[in-house]
Amino acid sequence: MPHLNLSSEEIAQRGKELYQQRLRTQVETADNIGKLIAIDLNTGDYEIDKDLLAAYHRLKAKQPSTVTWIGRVGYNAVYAIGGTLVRTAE
Amino acid sequence: MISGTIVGLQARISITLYSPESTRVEIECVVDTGFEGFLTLPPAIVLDLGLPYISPIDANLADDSLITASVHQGIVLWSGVERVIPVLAMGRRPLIGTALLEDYHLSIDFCEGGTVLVDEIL
Repeated sequence: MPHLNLSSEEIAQRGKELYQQRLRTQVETADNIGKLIAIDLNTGDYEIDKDLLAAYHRLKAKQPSTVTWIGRVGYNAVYAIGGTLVRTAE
Repeated sequence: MISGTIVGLQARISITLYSPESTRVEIECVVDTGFEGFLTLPPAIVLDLGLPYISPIDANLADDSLITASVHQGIVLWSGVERVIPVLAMGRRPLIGTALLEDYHLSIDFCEGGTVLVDEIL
């Protein structure tokens, strides 16, 4: 199911690195904190929306062959499953 | 309205899912108010239904560990409304989370055989 030759873990790792190194400072605005961000690992292009699927499909419409990672702006995970999300944005 | 039952201290309700080819499947799920997403399904069911793959995401579990899970796109019949939702392929017991319950009323008679109801907020 994962794209190309990358495992889910590798996509997640690359997505997080891209987010931290290139996107974090520009996307972590008060309006975006808590929303979902879909990132194209090839181009660094991204889409932000409160709806995960909306962000993904907008990104996919621009670049159909995108390798995508999805995160939650300003938090350490997309969903809590019994746990608690940790806010990472200041 | 959706109704279910308490079984062994779990609030269970059955929901109808659609495959991309519109095959209907009814699946019994546990209502998990500690899960902030929409739905989890065992990977084998996600595969059987052919739900389109979206992306890996990170999730935070009760032991505070982070895991990477695959998100797929599913269609669920929820209180008479077809909703297109992100589905996490993980675990053995399907879970309904609070994102699916958002803007609905949930009531539970928490005793064996008790009634679980999901309804409109009046």
